[in-house]
Amino acid sequence: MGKLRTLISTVIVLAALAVPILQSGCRTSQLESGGSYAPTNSVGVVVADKPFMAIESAFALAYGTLDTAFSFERDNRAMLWGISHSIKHTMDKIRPQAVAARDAYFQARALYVGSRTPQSFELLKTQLSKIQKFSTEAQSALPQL
Amino acid sequence: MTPAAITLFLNGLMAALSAAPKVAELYVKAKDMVAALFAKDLISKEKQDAQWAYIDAIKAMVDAGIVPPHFQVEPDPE
Repeated sequence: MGKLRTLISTVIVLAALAVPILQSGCRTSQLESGGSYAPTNSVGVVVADKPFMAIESAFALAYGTLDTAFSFERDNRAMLWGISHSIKHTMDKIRPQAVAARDAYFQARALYVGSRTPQSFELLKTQLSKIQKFSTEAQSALPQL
Repeated sequence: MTPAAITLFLNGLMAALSAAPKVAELYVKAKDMVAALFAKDLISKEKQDAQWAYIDAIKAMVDAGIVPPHFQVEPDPE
Protein backbone atom coordinates (compact mmCIF):
# COMPACT_ATOMS: atom_id res chain seq x y z
CA MET A 1 0.00 0.00 0.00
CA GLY A 2 2.84 2.36 0.94
CA LYS A 3 4.62 1.64 -2.35
CA LEU A 4 1.41 2.18 -4.32
CA ARG A 5 0.82 5.51 -2.58
CA THR A 6 4.39 6.56 -3.34
CA LEU A 7 4.00 5.54 -6.97
CA ILE A 8 0.73 7.47 -7.35
CA SER A 9 2.25 10.53 -5.66
CA THR A 10 5.29 10.37 -7.95
CA VAL A 11 3.14 10.13 -11.07
CA ILE A 12 1.00 13.07 -9.99
CA VAL A 13 4.02 15.22 -9.12
CA LEU A 14 5.65 14.44 -12.48
CA ALA A 15 2.40 15.39 -14.20
CA ALA A 16 2.33 18.61 -12.19
CA LEU A 17 5.84 19.43 -13.35
CA ALA A 18 4.98 18.56 -16.94
CA VAL A 19 1.82 20.69 -17.20
CA PRO A 20 3.42 24.14 -16.87
CA ILE A 21 6.33 23.07 -19.07
CA LEU A 22 3.96 21.84 -21.76
CA GLN A 23 1.83 24.97 -21.42
CA SER A 24 4.79 27.22 -22.00
CA GLY A 25 5.95 25.06 -24.89
CA CYS A 26 8.98 26.25 -26.78
CA ARG A 27 8.17 29.97 -26.44
CA THR A 28 10.95 32.38 -25.61
CA SER A 29 10.60 35.29 -23.16
CA GLN A 30 7.05 36.17 -22.07
CA LEU A 31 5.71 39.43 -20.77
CA GLU A 32 5.09 39.75 -17.05
CA SER A 33 1.43 40.64 -16.61
CA GLY A 34 0.67 44.15 -15.44
CA GLY A 35 3.45 45.73 -17.51
CA SER A 36 2.80 48.41 -20.12
CA TYR A 37 2.73 45.81 -22.89
CA ALA A 38 0.71 43.28 -20.88
CA PRO A 39 -1.97 45.31 -19.11
CA THR A 40 -5.10 43.92 -17.52
CA ASN A 41 -8.26 44.98 -19.31
CA SER A 42 -11.59 46.04 -17.79
CA VAL A 43 -12.71 42.46 -17.26
CA GLY A 44 -9.48 41.42 -15.55
CA VAL A 45 -7.95 39.64 -18.53
CA VAL A 46 -4.25 40.21 -19.25
CA VAL A 47 -3.79 41.41 -22.82
CA ALA A 48 -0.10 40.76 -23.57
CA ASP A 49 1.18 42.12 -26.85
CA LYS A 50 4.71 40.80 -27.28
CA PRO A 51 4.95 41.58 -31.03
CA PHE A 52 4.10 45.22 -30.27
CA MET A 53 6.78 45.35 -27.60
CA ALA A 54 9.27 43.88 -30.07
CA ILE A 55 8.41 46.60 -32.62
CA GLU A 56 8.79 49.27 -29.97
CA SER A 57 12.14 47.85 -28.84
CA ALA A 58 13.34 48.03 -32.44
CA PHE A 59 12.05 51.60 -32.73
CA ALA A 60 13.75 52.62 -29.49
CA LEU A 61 17.05 51.24 -30.77
CA ALA A 62 16.77 52.78 -34.24
CA TYR A 63 15.61 56.17 -32.99
CA GLY A 64 18.25 56.20 -30.25
CA THR A 65 20.95 55.47 -32.82
CA LEU A 66 19.64 58.21 -35.14
CA ASP A 67 19.51 60.65 -32.25
CA THR A 68 23.09 59.83 -31.28
CA ALA A 69 24.38 60.12 -34.86
CA PHE A 70 22.74 63.52 -35.42
CA SER A 71 23.87 64.75 -32.02
CA PHE A 72 27.44 63.59 -32.61
CA GLU A 73 27.61 65.31 -36.00
CA ARG A 74 26.26 68.58 -34.57
CA ASP A 75 28.55 68.49 -31.51
CA ASN A 76 31.64 67.77 -33.64
CA ARG A 77 30.62 69.70 -36.75
CA ALA A 78 33.74 71.78 -37.12
CA MET A 79 36.03 68.76 -36.86
CA LEU A 80 33.88 66.63 -39.19
CA TRP A 81 33.58 69.53 -41.69
CA GLY A 82 37.35 69.51 -41.86
CA ILE A 83 37.34 65.79 -42.68
CA SER A 84 34.63 66.01 -45.33
CA HIS A 85 31.76 68.37 -46.18
CA SER A 86 29.69 65.41 -47.35
CA ILE A 87 29.22 64.20 -43.76
CA LYS A 88 27.03 67.16 -42.85
CA HIS A 89 25.41 67.29 -46.27
CA THR A 90 24.45 63.61 -46.07
CA MET A 91 23.07 64.08 -42.57
CA ASP A 92 21.15 67.17 -43.74
CA LYS A 93 19.42 65.09 -46.42
CA ILE A 94 18.42 62.51 -43.81
CA ARG A 95 17.29 64.96 -41.12
CA PRO A 96 13.95 66.16 -42.53
CA GLN A 97 13.11 62.65 -43.73
CA ALA A 98 13.88 61.26 -40.26
CA VAL A 99 11.57 63.82 -38.65
CA ALA A 100 8.77 62.91 -41.07
CA ALA A 101 9.37 59.19 -40.45
CA ARG A 102 9.33 59.76 -36.69
CA ASP A 103 5.99 61.56 -36.90
CA ALA A 104 4.57 58.90 -39.21
CA TYR A 105 5.63 56.17 -36.77
CA PHE A 106 3.70 57.81 -33.96
CA GLN A 107 0.63 58.27 -36.14
CA ALA A 108 0.76 54.57 -36.99
CA ARG A 109 1.34 53.77 -33.32
CA ALA A 110 -1.73 55.73 -32.24
CA LEU A 111 -3.75 53.91 -34.90
CA TYR A 112 -2.51 50.52 -33.71
CA VAL A 113 -3.06 51.24 -30.01
CA GLY A 114 -6.59 52.39 -30.83
CA SER A 115 -7.37 49.37 -33.00
CA ARG A 116 -5.05 46.39 -32.89
CA THR A 117 -5.62 44.90 -36.31
CA PRO A 118 -3.15 43.05 -38.57
CA GLN A 119 -3.39 45.96 -41.03
CA SER A 120 -2.50 48.60 -38.44
CA PHE A 121 0.31 46.35 -37.21
CA GLU A 122 1.72 46.07 -40.73
CA LEU A 123 1.58 49.86 -41.09
CA LEU A 124 3.52 50.18 -37.84
CA LYS A 125 6.15 47.78 -39.16
CA THR A 126 6.42 49.78 -42.39
CA GLN A 127 7.02 53.03 -40.50
CA LEU A 128 9.56 51.29 -38.27
CA SER A 129 11.49 50.08 -41.31
CA LYS A 130 11.83 53.70 -42.51
CA ILE A 131 13.32 54.79 -39.20
CA GLN A 132 15.69 51.83 -39.30
CA LYS A 133 16.75 52.75 -42.85
CA PHE A 134 17.56 56.33 -41.87
CA SER A 135 19.35 55.14 -38.75
CA THR A 136 21.61 52.93 -40.86
CA GLU A 137 22.24 55.73 -43.37
CA ALA A 138 23.12 58.24 -40.64
CA GLN A 139 25.56 55.82 -39.04
CA SER A 140 27.16 55.11 -42.41
CA ALA A 141 27.63 58.85 -43.07
CA LEU A 142 29.92 59.17 -40.06
CA PRO A 143 33.62 58.34 -40.43
CA GLN A 144 34.19 54.64 -39.91
CA LEU A 145 37.21 53.48 -37.93
CA MET B 1 -13.45 -7.52 -14.57
CA THR B 2 -12.51 -9.98 -11.81
CA PRO B 3 -13.10 -9.30 -8.13
CA ALA B 4 -9.33 -9.18 -7.64
CA ALA B 5 -9.02 -6.48 -10.29
CA ILE B 6 -11.87 -4.48 -8.77
CA THR B 7 -10.23 -4.76 -5.34
CA LEU B 8 -6.92 -3.60 -6.76
CA PHE B 9 -8.61 -0.65 -8.47
CA LEU B 10 -10.47 0.36 -5.31
CA ASN B 11 -7.33 0.01 -3.21
CA GLY B 12 -5.50 2.23 -5.67
CA LEU B 13 -8.32 4.76 -5.60
CA MET B 14 -8.37 4.79 -1.79
CA ALA B 15 -4.60 5.20 -1.73
CA ALA B 16 -4.86 8.13 -4.13
CA LEU B 17 -7.66 9.76 -2.16
CA SER B 18 -5.88 9.35 1.16
CA ALA B 19 -2.69 10.72 -0.33
CA ALA B 20 -4.63 13.66 -1.83
CA PRO B 21 -3.77 16.37 0.73
CA LYS B 22 -0.06 15.51 0.57
CA VAL B 23 -0.21 15.29 -3.22
CA ALA B 24 -2.00 18.63 -3.43
CA GLU B 25 0.79 20.14 -1.35
CA LEU B 26 3.43 18.55 -3.58
CA TYR B 27 1.59 19.78 -6.67
CA VAL B 28 1.60 23.37 -5.43
CA LYS B 29 5.31 23.17 -4.58
CA ALA B 30 6.12 21.68 -7.97
CA LYS B 31 4.06 24.33 -9.76
CA ASP B 32 5.82 27.13 -7.82
CA MET B 33 9.20 25.61 -8.63
CA VAL B 34 8.49 25.48 -12.33
CA ALA B 35 6.96 28.97 -12.29
CA ALA B 36 10.14 30.29 -10.63
CA LEU B 37 12.25 28.62 -13.31
CA PHE B 38 10.22 30.22 -16.06
CA ALA B 39 10.06 33.59 -14.28
CA LYS B 40 13.68 34.08 -15.29
CA ASP B 41 12.40 34.10 -18.86
CA LEU B 42 9.82 36.83 -18.22
CA ILE B 43 10.20 40.38 -19.49
CA SER B 44 9.55 42.21 -16.22
CA LYS B 45 6.96 44.90 -15.68
CA GLU B 46 9.78 47.31 -14.90
CA LYS B 47 11.49 46.73 -18.25
CA GLN B 48 8.21 47.08 -20.11
CA ASP B 49 7.34 50.28 -18.26
CA ALA B 50 10.82 51.76 -18.80
CA GLN B 51 10.60 51.20 -22.55
CA TRP B 52 7.06 52.60 -22.68
CA ALA B 53 8.19 55.69 -20.75
CA TYR B 54 11.11 56.28 -23.15
CA ILE B 55 8.83 56.10 -26.15
CA ASP B 56 6.21 58.19 -24.39
CA ALA B 57 8.79 60.94 -23.92
CA ILE B 58 9.47 60.99 -27.67
CA LYS B 59 5.72 60.97 -28.32
CA ALA B 60 5.35 64.00 -26.05
CA MET B 61 7.89 65.84 -28.21
CA VAL B 62 6.08 64.84 -31.38
CA ASP B 63 2.71 65.91 -29.94
CA ALA B 64 4.22 69.27 -28.96
CA GLY B 65 5.66 69.70 -32.46
CA ILE B 66 9.19 69.85 -31.09
CA VAL B 67 12.10 69.06 -33.39
CA PRO B 68 15.39 68.85 -31.42
CA PRO B 69 18.17 71.11 -32.78
CA HIS B 70 20.31 68.17 -33.89
CA PHE B 71 17.42 66.95 -36.06
CA GLN B 72 17.26 70.32 -37.85
CA VAL B 73 19.16 71.43 -40.93
CA GLU B 74 21.50 74.28 -40.02
CA PRO B 75 23.77 76.49 -42.13
CA ASP B 76 27.14 75.08 -43.14
CA PRO B 77 30.13 76.16 -41.07
CA GLU B 78 32.09 79.10 -42.52
